[in-house]
Amino acid sequence: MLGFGIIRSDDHVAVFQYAMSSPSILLYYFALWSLYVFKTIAFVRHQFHHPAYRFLHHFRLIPLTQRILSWVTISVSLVMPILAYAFWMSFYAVRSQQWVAISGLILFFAGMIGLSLLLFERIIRQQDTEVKVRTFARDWPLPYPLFFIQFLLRKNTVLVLITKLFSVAVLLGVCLLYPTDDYDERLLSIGLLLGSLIHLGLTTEHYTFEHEYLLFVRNLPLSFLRRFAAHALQMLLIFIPEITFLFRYLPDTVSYLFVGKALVFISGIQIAALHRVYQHDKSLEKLSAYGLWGFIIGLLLIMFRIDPAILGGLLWAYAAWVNAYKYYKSEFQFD
Amino acid sequence: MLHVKNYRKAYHGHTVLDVPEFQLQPGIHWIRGVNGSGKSTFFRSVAGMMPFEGEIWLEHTWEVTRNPVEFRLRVNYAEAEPLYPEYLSAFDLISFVAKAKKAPSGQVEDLIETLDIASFWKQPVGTYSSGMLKKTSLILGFLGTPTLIMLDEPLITIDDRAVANVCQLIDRYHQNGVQFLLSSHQDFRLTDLKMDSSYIIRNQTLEEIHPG
Repeated sequence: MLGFGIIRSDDHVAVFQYAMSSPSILLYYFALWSLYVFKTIAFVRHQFHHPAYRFLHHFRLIPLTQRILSWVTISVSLVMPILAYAFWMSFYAVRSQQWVAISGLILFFAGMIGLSLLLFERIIRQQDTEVKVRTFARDWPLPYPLFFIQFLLRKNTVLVLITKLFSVAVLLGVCLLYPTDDYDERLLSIGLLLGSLIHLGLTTEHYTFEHEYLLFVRNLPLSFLRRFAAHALQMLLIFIPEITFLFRYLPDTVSYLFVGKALVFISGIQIAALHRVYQHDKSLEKLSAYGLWGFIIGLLLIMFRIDPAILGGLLWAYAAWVNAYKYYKSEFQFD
Repeated sequence: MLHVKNYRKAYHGHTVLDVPEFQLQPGIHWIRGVNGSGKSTFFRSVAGMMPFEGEIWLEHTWEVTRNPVEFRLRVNYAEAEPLYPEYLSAFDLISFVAKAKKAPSGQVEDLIETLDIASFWKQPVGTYSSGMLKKTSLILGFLGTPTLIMLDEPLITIDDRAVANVCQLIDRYHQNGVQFLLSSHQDFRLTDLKMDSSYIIRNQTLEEIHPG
């Protein structure tokens, strides 16, 4: 799935045939797919908890059998990309009579759809959970840059966990791979590029959060420096886990200066993506396409030995330009 | 005091409001219009919260796009139906806005007492009733030392005592030189507030209603 559209179909077939002949390898597929399924469950939960979609809780009034059928339909539709991939795998498995792998696939999807169904039911039964009162520093107002960070941690925990798990795993992978051959810093830069592009889901949340809940901020007399400093701080906070892991697992032959460059680069991708949407609001729907193109272009630039600090610096400069001249032109228009 | 020139606002290419020329003199003014006529769109444009075509000048000196900081320091807006992150408290929001709008010392305490929110302002917004939410939004609208305050449906969802307090607050601020632009489906003539003029948004434009 990771290499969908990037590696050749023959390579896909070779890899999954190997996995199906050794069910323990198949478990890696299941682990990755489980992340995807949890992401879809988190999406449904997010929708049901959104103030604008409270009416969806009336769904509970529908008879149980009909409700279960609807949940199964929703769940199957949401997992369709991985289900289709599994069907493709099964086609080869049937030809090779790999019945253990087929049974594994059937059990995995039955289990995941069953789990989704149970969790969906739980979501509509626990509609208005009481908002937790902040227990620490109650006499100190929450600083503005932390409004979004709190939103991520309280309302998008699963999305944050999956994103961080994935990006840290990629970084860890390239750091461990680095000493095994004659690699240079470009390998680490590719890992950083992938790890940052995975955060585009958070960019979508950032943009919609600001336009839905913090519209009043646009009526505040915040100078460019204050606006941009708040955004910059948010970006730096978001990437604390990646930077910590990079410090810890940085290969011995790589200078610690690279960690600074890495921070400029990964946060630059994020802040530029957010500001691209400010500049052109309709880009919100195209962020995943930007991710793909960003990966291809970024890969080329890295391979041509462009320093990640220069790339990051250019992305930060673009974001600053948009923030200074286009910020107030941004308007979220629902289609 | 407020000068709107060649204003046009469109959603998905469809014009919802077209105001070629509009001048607002100092005073307390009432804007009316049926649901969906564009009152909130107009208010949000004047507050600098959404892009539009045209120019909006305050005191012939500050334009919303050209002088974004100076203009926003002097123009405040309280939403009709505010939506805030449920885990934040009125304390978080008011502290942030008060600092940004450079609220004078003691103003926050005064507003909290007038609108009686001290008992809940450190609780998360997600636990508020619509009236408590509305009071929070109104306080945000009064913070700082603005020249113009726009209140969108200021009297809905709050109790009778709060209505009287909001009217007194408007009157007090106006005596100190603050101008008001209010929108309401309720009749301000039933309150103690004296309106200097009334406007209506219809046929996608803004027209003055002449008495009699």
